[in-house]
Amino acid sequence: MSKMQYRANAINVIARRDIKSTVNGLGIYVVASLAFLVSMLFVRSNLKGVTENGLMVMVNPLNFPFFIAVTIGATYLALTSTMSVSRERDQGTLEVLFYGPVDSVAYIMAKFLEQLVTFLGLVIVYMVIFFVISKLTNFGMDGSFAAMAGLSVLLAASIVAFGLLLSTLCRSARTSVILLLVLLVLFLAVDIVAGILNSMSAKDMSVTLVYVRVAVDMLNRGLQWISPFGYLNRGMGAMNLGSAKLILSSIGASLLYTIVLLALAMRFLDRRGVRK
Amino acid sequence: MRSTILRISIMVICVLTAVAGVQAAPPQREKQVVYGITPWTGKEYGGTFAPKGIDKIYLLADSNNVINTLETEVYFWPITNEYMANWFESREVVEGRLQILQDGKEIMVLERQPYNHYYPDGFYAGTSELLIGEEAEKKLQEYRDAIEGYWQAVSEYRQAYADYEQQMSEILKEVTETGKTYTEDELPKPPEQPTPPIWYATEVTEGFIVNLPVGEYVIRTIDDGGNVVEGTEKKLKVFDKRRSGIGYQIIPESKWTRPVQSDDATQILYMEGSRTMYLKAFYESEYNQHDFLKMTSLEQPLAGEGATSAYMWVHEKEVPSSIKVQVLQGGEVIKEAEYKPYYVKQTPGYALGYEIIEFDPEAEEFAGRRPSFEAVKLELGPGSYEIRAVDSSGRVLDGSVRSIRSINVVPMWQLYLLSLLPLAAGVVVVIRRRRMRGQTAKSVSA
Amino acid sequence: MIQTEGLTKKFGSLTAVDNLNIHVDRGEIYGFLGPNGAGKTTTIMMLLGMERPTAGKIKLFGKDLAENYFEIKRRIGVLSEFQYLYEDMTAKEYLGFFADLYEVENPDKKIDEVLSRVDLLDRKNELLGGYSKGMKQKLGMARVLLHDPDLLILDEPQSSLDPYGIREIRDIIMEENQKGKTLFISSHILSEIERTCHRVGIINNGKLLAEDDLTHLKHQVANEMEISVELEGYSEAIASSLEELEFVKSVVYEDSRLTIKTTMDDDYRAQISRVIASHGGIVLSMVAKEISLEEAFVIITEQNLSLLTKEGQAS
Ligand SMILES: Nc1ncnc2c1ncn2[C@@H]1O[C@H](COP(=O)(O)OP(=O)(O)O)[C@@H](O)[C@H]1O
Ligand SMILES: [Mg+2]
Repeated sequence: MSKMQYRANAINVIARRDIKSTVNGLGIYVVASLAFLVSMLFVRSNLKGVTENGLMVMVNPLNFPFFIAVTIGATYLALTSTMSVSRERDQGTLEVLFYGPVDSVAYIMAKFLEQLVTFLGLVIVYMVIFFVISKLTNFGMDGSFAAMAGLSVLLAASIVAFGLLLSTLCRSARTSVILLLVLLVLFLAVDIVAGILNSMSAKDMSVTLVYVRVAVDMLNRGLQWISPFGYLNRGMGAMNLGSAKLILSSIGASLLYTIVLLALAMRFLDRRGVRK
Repeated sequence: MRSTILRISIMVICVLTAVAGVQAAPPQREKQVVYGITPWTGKEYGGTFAPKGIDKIYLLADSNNVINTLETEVYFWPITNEYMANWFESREVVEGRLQILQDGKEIMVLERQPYNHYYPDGFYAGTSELLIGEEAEKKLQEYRDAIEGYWQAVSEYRQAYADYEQQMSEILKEVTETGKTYTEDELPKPPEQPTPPIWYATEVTEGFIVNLPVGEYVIRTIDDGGNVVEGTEKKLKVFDKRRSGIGYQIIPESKWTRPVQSDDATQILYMEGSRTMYLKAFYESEYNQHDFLKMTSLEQPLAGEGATSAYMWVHEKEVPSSIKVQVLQGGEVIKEAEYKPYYVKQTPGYALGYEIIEFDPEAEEFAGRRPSFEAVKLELGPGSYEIRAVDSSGRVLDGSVRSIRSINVVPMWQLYLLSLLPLAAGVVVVIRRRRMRGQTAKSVSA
Repeated sequence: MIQTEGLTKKFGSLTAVDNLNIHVDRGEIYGFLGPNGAGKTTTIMMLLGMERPTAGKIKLFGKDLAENYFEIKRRIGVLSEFQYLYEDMTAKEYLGFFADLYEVENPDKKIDEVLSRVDLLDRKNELLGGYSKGMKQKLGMARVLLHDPDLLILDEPQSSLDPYGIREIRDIIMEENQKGKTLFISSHILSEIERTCHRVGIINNGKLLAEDDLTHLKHQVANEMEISVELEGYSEAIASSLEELEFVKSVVYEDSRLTIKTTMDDDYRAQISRVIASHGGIVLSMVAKEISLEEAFVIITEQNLSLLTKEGQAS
């Protein structure tokens, strides 16, 4: 058997074990429900907006709730993968894996695939429930929603890879978890605030708001290749423009980002070692 | 990086000047060499200028724009955060040619050309055309001739009117004295009043006509000795629209003064229940917000700041009213509506305080009145629809498809209940797993 | 099977393993001895590629680990010093996971087999969280055996076991060796090493001090042999005659027992019994008490005696 086959087996076995333990735990279900409850708040305000105005123009009002649900789900998965790497190291079970036919590539890939597969499961549940909501409310599921759903997998992949990188980079589980949360909240906040500011009419903006926008815009441009949300935005933009070249290049960039983060995570794991 | 520093310094300057402005009332006036800019905005010709403090100019690609090197008195007006030029008291042309460079290499040198603006529908209505060289002179001459002709006609009219009044008073005298009667046809006709030309052409002036493809350039003014005039080197960004399409303005019957706008296919129109609405369609282009606002309002340092990644749709002109709007359901055209004039009639008894009725120019009711607006009326019941605009030959206009959906007001508890489904599933899984564990433990201890 | 060349590991200023050259042959049981902190675990981790050596080369099965990572790892079974288990799994699930990882054929049968070898078969459905320390150690051993490795690397395999467990593990070690497997066992329980190992390497402060087979090693370390004689008809003459012998270092008579210390260069029992008989004494029993591994170990490590170089040789 080749090295690749051995590795594939290790990835498969480890990822399967972890998926099983995720599916058997309560956490993922709590998070799914929590994500829905949060996104329902947005659905609710959109429903209210239409009933109050009678007529309202907006992009599919399910996009943002879905984005929030995806972000919550992916963040939870990134957190669990961050914690599980640190925990497995602290408990020593990581070391035991490496006695056998497991290397850092196999281990990181297993962790990554585990979270990605779990996320796919989550997205299917999300899609079903959002489909029901779209039918109930008649908000509909248009092309932009489909784009969002498709790109959410790339978003989740990059968030999980980001979490894995932090977990191999930081000494303690606590540091990596705090760092992950702080960075993701920062990325998300910049993304959302920039989105809101960009959709506002420039004419009736106060001077202070212009300064805020300049600051956010600079941050946003600084983070656009670092933040996973930057890649989602490029993807969404490309989908809306309908340019195949842009779509492919944004997907390519997102994949490249994920691969680079994973490769870095492997290197850091190698360098830091798997022992306590 | 440089632009970041620039931006920060602009911010600092603005804050400082704002603070200074509060303290020292009269703003500092300074003689400066500036570029006066008349940019084509896709819709009309704008007007702005680039003073000393602003080092980058923005123009639309492949269109005629006018740039002029001038010396004037400039001051910063902190209340509105903009530079002002005292054009009326000081405006001197800085002689020379305009050199345009790209990647450090000269790509062209422009001489000043005579130009003017021609307003086919009058100065206050509609857009202007830029006429260059002989055409400008010709149009101006035509305009002058037309005006002269008008004045000629006016003086002839006055003469004719005086003659008419003379005749009439004579007839009146005759009637009162002799009792002679005149039929209407026998009475002299009053002369017709001449109408002034509605079109307009401005005076011919000289400027550099800049028409460039998309790119980053540097411009500077070169004097007759071949030297760069101090303070005239500036960057020039020439950009283009990102997309074009059809934008809709949607006037809800229930709030006719508050139209909403849908600019691209992702912008869905949601409504509650059955609704009546009036649609106007526009040709539109989408621009980078920062670049577009810089182009139109360069004298305002804050314009477009922070909007480098934002895009904006600009409605350029209304599509011809010969188009029709089709309503589709499930891919089938179920309705087709066309442009009609409408009149908003104030009716106090009515729930909204007004009603919108079709304007009929023949009807007595509308005598002496003008329609409030012209639009396509749609009356839609609950459901999901698509609309699109087709021209007179039935061709669908690019970018004109939109979704219209009537929402259902769902009780929130249903949605919350739906949200709890995963949790319920999780509880089931965990309980089952516990039970399995319990059983194996029991079987072991037994 | 295992060969290192100049293997060195530094943790900052501490040299945990210093220029180590060991070699373990196919089919042998190699005892890796050293006091706590000597560098045994560090050496093992370097063998497994889990600590990066500061210097030196390692060959396992005659090959480089980095180039044949998976092939080699699948042929090794490793029992670590401490047991790290997934506490939320049962023994069966745990071994099932590793069986999949090593792609063991007939996993269910194999799991039952290894569990019965460590006497845990009847507890295979219990959660590992509830296992005692000794049980965990034995389960670790079961995991080592699961994929039938050619080389077993055991780091203090009997450290937390009761005498029963110690024996079980010892039996397993012997059985595996009988099957032709190579074993590399680090330990400080010297009696166990003495019972099972063919060859030992002794490490102290990161340096390998001795590497030899057991008898040879003991001979090298000890400079005297103690011969205890139970006899009838003792007289002072016996003692004085014995003391005159060139190879005798001391003679003590106590409780009708004669304790004679001789040099280590030969077996002098025949000569001694002849001297006793010539003075009318009757030898009832004569035992040559060899130095134990423990004593040898203490001597070597306390004096940091290197038996590997010419000038360091003891005898
Ligand atoms: N990761 C580490 N960082 C620093 N020092 C270490 C590390 N691992 C081991 N050591 C030190 O190296 C020496 C050898 O340790 P170890 O190999 O565990 O000894 P043994 O297994 O023989 O008891 C000890 O002094 C120990 O403190
Ligand atoms: Mg140790």
